[in-house]
Amino acid sequence: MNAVAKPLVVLADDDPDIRMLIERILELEGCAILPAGDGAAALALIREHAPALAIVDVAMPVMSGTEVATQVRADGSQIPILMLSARAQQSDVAAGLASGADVYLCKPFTAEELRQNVQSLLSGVTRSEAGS
Amino acid sequence: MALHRRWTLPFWLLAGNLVLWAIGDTIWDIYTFLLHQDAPYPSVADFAFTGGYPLLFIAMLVLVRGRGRPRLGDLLDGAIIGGGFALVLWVFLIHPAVGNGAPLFSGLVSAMYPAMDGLILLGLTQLAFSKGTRNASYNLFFGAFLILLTADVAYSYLVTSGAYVPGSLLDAGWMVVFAGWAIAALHPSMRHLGDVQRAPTHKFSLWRLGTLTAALLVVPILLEVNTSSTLDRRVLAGGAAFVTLTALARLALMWRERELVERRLWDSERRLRQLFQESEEHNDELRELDTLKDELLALVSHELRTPLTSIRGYLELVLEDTSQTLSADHREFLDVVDRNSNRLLRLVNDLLLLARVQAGRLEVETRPVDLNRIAAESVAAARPAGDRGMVTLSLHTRDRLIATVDPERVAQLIDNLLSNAIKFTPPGGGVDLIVSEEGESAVIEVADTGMGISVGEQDQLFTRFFRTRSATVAGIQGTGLGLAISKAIVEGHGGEIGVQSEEGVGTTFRVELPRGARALVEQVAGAVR
Repeated sequence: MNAVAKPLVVLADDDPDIRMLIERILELEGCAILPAGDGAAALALIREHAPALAIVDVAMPVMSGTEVATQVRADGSQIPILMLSARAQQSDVAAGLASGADVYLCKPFTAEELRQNVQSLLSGVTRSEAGS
Repeated sequence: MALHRRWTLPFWLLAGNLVLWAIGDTIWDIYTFLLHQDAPYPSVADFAFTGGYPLLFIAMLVLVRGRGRPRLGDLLDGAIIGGGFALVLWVFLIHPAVGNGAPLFSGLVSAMYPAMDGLILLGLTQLAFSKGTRNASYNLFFGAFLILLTADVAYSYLVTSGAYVPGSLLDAGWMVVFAGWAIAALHPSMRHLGDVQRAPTHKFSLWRLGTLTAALLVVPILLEVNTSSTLDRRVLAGGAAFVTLTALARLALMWRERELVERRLWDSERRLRQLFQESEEHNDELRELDTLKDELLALVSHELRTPLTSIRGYLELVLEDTSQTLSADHREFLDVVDRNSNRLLRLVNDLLLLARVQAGRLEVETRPVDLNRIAAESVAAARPAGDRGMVTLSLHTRDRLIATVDPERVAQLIDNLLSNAIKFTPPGGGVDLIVSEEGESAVIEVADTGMGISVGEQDQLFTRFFRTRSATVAGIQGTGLGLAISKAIVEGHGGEIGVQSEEGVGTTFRVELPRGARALVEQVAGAVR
């Protein structure tokens, strides 16, 4: 395998089952995953590795997903951010996007939804929002 | 017919009085018409005449007592009027009879007549202020006594001034009195003399103030009218003092009554305010509990969605696996898991939505869309369920119908109504979805040939968690959330939803949505936040 060709994805979710699920789906898509269990760890990984994509859950210990996105944008980084959350209210979506996320995906999502969004973000086509 | 003794006694007393008067009249008539001479004065006849009055007075008192306990105010009213009247009687009738140089004994007898009239007046005032009903019998009784008093006073005055002529019109007065008593005694309403009609009031009415003023003016007027220097100053002064004191007492009583009423009013007002405050506090508590419950519901729903993400995600991965490592049985079992996790997800979403509706935060994101396209998609989605239940689905639309609505919510609304209609329609029946426009509104109707809804249950239909009896009995699956959500969606669009149903015939749900829906939403504000 050619490690250089694989897009690097930082994946942050405090639920290990969901982390593993996303890892499995994205590995099949040919991504390399850097997992993190909280927001602070995710931010450190993003700063260190400058990944092709960051996937962050909103409700996480230490630092929330929206705080991570705010910090990343404050750093001046333009890497695409996909935000995940079980909070599906319009105001939650708006808050997530305002913090700097490119896509806000509501849980539970289907594998197909995740693939499509990851693909479009990696290929540089950014959408503002995806449905629940 | 047995009457209470209280109501017959006064009339027995009247009868006793009439016997005495008949004796007196007989003696008087013998002298006047047989012996053609004046009866000796005083005679037995005078004792018969005056002896009847106490009986009359007792009759009146018995009647008064029977009509409710007299109150201090009533007694005072009687005393004031009686005092004023007694002064008049004294000045014009008693004083001339006693003080004109006649022998003491005959003078006293002469004074007896006006004194007895004073007794009658006292009785009349008490009767007037009694609490009993003012029926025909009472009015006759009272009227007769009033005429008796008038005739007596006129007679006494005429006799004193020497102008009385026997057989004049005045004599008819007494006959009217006797007839009045007789009719009062026989009238059927006599049995209700004791029915209390109203609670006596002690208000500063014009009538009361007038009476008090008149009583207070009696002495000055008497002094003005009667210039005879023989009037006893002490009697006049005593009378004036009596009337004045009783009038003052009456005023004080009225004043106290007024204060009592005011205090009672104040007390009840305070109690009312207190109750109001208590109920407000109670309401706040309830509102708080309601908010807490909605927050809990939202939290729980949210916490349920996270594990569901794992369940559905991994399930999807397994079912997507085309490597045939799953046996047909296992695949079937996993399909059941898939269907039920899907159902659980829908339920969680519904609960979450409802919690938001309750919290007043249903978000409607409107944009112009073709309602007919949404309707067609909903029918297509409902087709498998219709086929399973052997229910024919038909869509009735015309070309395009553009409306500014939230397409996802309206789709959810139509899905709910269609799924309900299919569930409650027996095999072989049909469900029609009709989309049309009516003025400024888009109308969506879902009509089925199902079991129908009883009139009593139609009102509760849109209450969350409500399920009809027949749905429960027939074991039709449901949570009782669909229609509550549908209503919330319709109201979020500023529309209306209604139902028409006949048991055993079918049900039609009708939704009206304003086509140019002003989004009734704070979602714009929410996005800015």
